[in-house]
Amino acid sequence: MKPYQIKAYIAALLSLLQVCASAEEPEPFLALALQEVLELEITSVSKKPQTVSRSAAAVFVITGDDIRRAGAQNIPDALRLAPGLHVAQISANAWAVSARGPNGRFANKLLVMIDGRTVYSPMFSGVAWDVQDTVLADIERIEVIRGPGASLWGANAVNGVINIITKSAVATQGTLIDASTGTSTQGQMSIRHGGQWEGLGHWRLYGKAFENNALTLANGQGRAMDAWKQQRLGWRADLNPNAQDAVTIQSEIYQGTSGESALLNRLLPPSNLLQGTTQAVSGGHLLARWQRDLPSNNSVTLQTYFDHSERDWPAHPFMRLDTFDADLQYRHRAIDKHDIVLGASWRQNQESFHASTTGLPDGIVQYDTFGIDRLKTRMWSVMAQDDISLIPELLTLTLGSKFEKYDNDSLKPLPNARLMWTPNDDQTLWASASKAIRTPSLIDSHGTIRALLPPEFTINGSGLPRPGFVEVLGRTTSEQLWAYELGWKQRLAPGLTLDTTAYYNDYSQLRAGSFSTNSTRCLPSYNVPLPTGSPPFAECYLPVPLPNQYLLLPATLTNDFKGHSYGLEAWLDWQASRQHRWQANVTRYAMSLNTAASNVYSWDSPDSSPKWTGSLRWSYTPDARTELDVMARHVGALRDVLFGQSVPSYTTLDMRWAWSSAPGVQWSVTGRNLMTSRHLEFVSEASDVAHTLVGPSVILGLRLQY
Amino acid sequence: MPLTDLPLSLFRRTLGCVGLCIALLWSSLGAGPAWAEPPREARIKAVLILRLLKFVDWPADNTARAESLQVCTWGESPTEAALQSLQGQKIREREIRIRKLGTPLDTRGCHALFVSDSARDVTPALLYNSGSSAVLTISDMPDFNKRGGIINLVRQDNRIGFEIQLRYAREHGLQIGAPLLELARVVD
Repeated sequence: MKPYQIKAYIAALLSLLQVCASAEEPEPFLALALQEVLELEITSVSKKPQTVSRSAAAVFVITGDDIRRAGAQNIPDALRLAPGLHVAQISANAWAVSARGPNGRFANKLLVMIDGRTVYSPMFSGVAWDVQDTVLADIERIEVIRGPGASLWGANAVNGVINIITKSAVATQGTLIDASTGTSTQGQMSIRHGGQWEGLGHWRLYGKAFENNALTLANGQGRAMDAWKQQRLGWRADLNPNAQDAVTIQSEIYQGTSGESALLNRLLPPSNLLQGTTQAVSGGHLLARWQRDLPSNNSVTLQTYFDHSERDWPAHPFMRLDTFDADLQYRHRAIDKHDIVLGASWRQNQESFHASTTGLPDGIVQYDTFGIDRLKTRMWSVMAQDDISLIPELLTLTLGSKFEKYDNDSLKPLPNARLMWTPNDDQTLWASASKAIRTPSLIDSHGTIRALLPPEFTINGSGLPRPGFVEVLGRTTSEQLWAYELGWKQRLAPGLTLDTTAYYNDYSQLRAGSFSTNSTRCLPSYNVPLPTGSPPFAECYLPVPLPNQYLLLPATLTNDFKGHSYGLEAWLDWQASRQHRWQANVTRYAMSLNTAASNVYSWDSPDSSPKWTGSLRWSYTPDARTELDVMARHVGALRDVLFGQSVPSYTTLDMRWAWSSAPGVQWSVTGRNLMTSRHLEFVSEASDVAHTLVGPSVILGLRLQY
Repeated sequence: MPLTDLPLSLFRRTLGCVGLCIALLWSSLGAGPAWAEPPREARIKAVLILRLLKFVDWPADNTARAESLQVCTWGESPTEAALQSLQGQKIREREIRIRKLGTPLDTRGCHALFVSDSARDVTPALLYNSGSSAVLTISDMPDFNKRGGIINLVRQDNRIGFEIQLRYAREHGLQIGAPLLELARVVD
């Protein structure tokens, strides 16, 4: 740009700003009802703070109070409060969490973020729940958005988005000590201290450590080897150097071990050996966010973070991921009837992947091995969204799209359109159509992995004579979804609210595995004379196995599957009086898959999510010192999680009673999974992992705050 | 240029342009006090004050006009400025009228009186000798309802909540609606 051009540009900009500044802007908060004003946050990290009852999406907010009152010990525990979310425990430290569709340990269509930092791993397309933690008392809220959020949050926000938002340091002043112990844990201790820098801002420093017990093996052989231990240290500062600027800096480091009972495979009999494989996990991040309020309610936000994580899982992969991300957002509200967000972001992932043999005896076959060991992927995107007030206070249209370029994939538009009708304070009706994609993981797009087949696996009806591998050649592109939603939020009576959503999801290019049994090989191959007319891989079935011989089934990953799902979600919230609050929800889900190709298997199992789930929760506050919470949950049967393995339905009860003996001192007793015997909640798709049962537990807690 | 570097170079260019725009915005805006608007916290408090009024019934001797919402202010603060900026806007068809009071204090014609933290020292005198008694007194100063005030705006974590001193409300002849009592912390 030449100097005179710059001058002209500044002049144009200045005149534009003056026009904006002189227009008298109606206060948008005036349109809110009293209850909604009380819900407004003083500071927020979401792209646009909205009150839930006036949002054109299926949003549920788990508040910090809810988390405490549920007696949650970790984030997946807390997520069980959200209607429409299927949370299933796989082992003491692994969970399957998903909304509206196929679930699994590697559920790949749910995006999860903590304070604006994505914790969805591009390496395996999923979330490692065992390392997502913080001091639970410092969580401000968890926003659970069912349905796509790709136009705002980008790829992988397919079936839902979970935003975990921690409190501003302003709200965590003073000291908090939270300790608990019980039948499922040796102990948990969180300590936080917050202070302030006069005239500049506030800070907090925190640490958390816990050691959780192992669960019980489903095969009746006693305790699993899945004990879970972790230590975490972090800090956060929220600075307001002047009236316009807000700066947040936060950082955290953690380390720990996550145990797992897995079948180790040896080339010589006995082939399957159940043993503990302890994953060593560690990581940390540094995040900075700067927000400047501009005149006329406009604002600009710049956020950048670096995140490092490492996982060493013997007989499984060693994974290291370094992510650098920068995100810029500008919110413009100076145009009458428009509320515009513009954004641009850039991310780089540096992935390192190899087989781990840490602490293993010789002769153990890796569960999976990889053809590549490092990869750098880059993503950039731009987005624009406009909330257009078609008829003020009555009809709002939201139009927006992200345009995302991931690695070698083509540039993908991720549009969405939402229409919201708010005829009065008590009613919101909305409809939406939106597109989302799931980007391929390292394995999907670049992988040549050899994964051990589980003992249950059969070829042409017969079991494997010796360890078998599937060799997966992954060259897939993104999976796609077009989702259509209808929602109705109604205040039926004072304190009584109904929130219902219906959706129809149309998936295409879903990941599929195409096996070709004709090309099954025996490796290493030996020159064995066989009778004529033998099947192609008959040498693998020789009566006397050759040493070090295993089966190899080549498979190719394709994008050959299509599918559709539909569902209904209803949630009723009744604040009957100051003492009693009732919440109930019912969720119905169904999905089917189809393909035009033959001999192709889907990677997603529609029946890994229950058709029906429901819960009823009662919160009783007899006085300011006592809290009693009871929640009954029903989870329908999972008919086919993996290779035909099913999980029966179950109904269980969680309870918590808490009492304050003095201001700032709260004692609590929490019972989880009561009224049921030990039961299976899920089966890991890492198919060598032993099945474990979840049983009743009791936890005693003490929280001190001063 | 290798193809794989294209996104990065594009990004750099985009970032460069965006950076320039931001820099220009920044330098042209400065921290101009003329354009500065009340911070979000003050705006929330101001709207909350107006919303509360819907649930209060005044006795017949209150002199404020029913077709508008008359909020008077005393002292200066960001919340007071936020209230002033709502002057003339409408809330459910009722026009908002904000009036800054001077001395001697005369609250005739006010539905509510917002007292800024800066007026802390004069509060007790102000609250008891103010012309009309049927006025809802509101403040965000600490311990306002121990000093004779009716509604105290308090910060609760990251939100604004409020406390109601029911005894003073009754003494002033004000009826507080049930929805408010549900949402407030009631002090008696």
